[in-house]
Amino acid sequence: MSEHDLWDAIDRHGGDLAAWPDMLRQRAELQRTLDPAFAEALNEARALDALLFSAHEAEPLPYGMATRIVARASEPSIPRWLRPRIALPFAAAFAGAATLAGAAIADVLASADPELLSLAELALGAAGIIAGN
Amino acid sequence: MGPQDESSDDELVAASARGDERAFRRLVERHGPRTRSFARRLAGNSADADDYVQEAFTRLWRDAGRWRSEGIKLSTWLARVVTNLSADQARRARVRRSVTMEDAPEPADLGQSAEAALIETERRSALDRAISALPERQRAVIALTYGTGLSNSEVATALDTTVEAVEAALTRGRAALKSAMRAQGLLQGTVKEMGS
Repeated sequence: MSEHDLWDAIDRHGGDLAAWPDMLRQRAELQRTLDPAFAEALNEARALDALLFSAHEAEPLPYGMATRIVARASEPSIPRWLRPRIALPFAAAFAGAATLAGAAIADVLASADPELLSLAELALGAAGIIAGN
Repeated sequence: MGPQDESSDDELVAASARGDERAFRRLVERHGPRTRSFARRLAGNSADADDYVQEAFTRLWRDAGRWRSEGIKLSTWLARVVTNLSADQARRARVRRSVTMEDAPEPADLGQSAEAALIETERRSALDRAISALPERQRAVIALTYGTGLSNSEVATALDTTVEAVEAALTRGRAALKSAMRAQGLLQGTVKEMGS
């Protein structure tokens, strides 16, 4: 085991020597007493560990979140195989309604009295809403 | 606090499978905070993280009857679901991973001096930015190691990878974070405060 291996082990195992494999730990403890730079690197690794543990501390769930999770999770869901059977009738109903509405408008326009249309055109022309001929 | 609080995860999952919403709620309360903390680290924002947590527990409720621990902790299973959801999201669209104002840490303690609180806030913000800049796999390994207390082999199970890959990601992640914090002079201050 080289000194290089010991330095690599700092990033691999972190700054807590207690968590290192036994053989490495013994070498690292010795190295720490001999090499101030190694000791400083271990201290930095411990500091980073402390910051990371602190940064990853779990906070309580926001108020009401647990209730929402339970409510949404347990609400009955539509099985995947049933979805097309519900969606298709809706699509068909919408298409049918649109067709009927279009037919009704066409029917009204076709059956309109030509005299009434002329009168309406005159009135709108007189009011300046549409340009007269 | 009822006797159900002492129940194991397996017992609560089994009760959930029978439609016991109280048991399920207990699981949400027990595992929700850490799952959400991990999800926030992966997603980089609270909105996506909350969606992941909701979906993970919805799957747990839906599949409770089929859930078998088989040596895998529930926290590991939840972490795996969140990881997969995050990966799916990343595949569909690049997830914005900047640290939002909402995610910025609060000043540490009203009792601290303003200067100390400012330094602490700066340090936490810098660390959050450095974590966000890590590749997704390293971020996930760091979050699971420091946020959930899972062992390397459990982290490997959660991420569906090998222990060696976890150790490599942990090593690179730590090196990158140390470098980022050292460059801003924020690691040395922590060393001094620790009295080393």
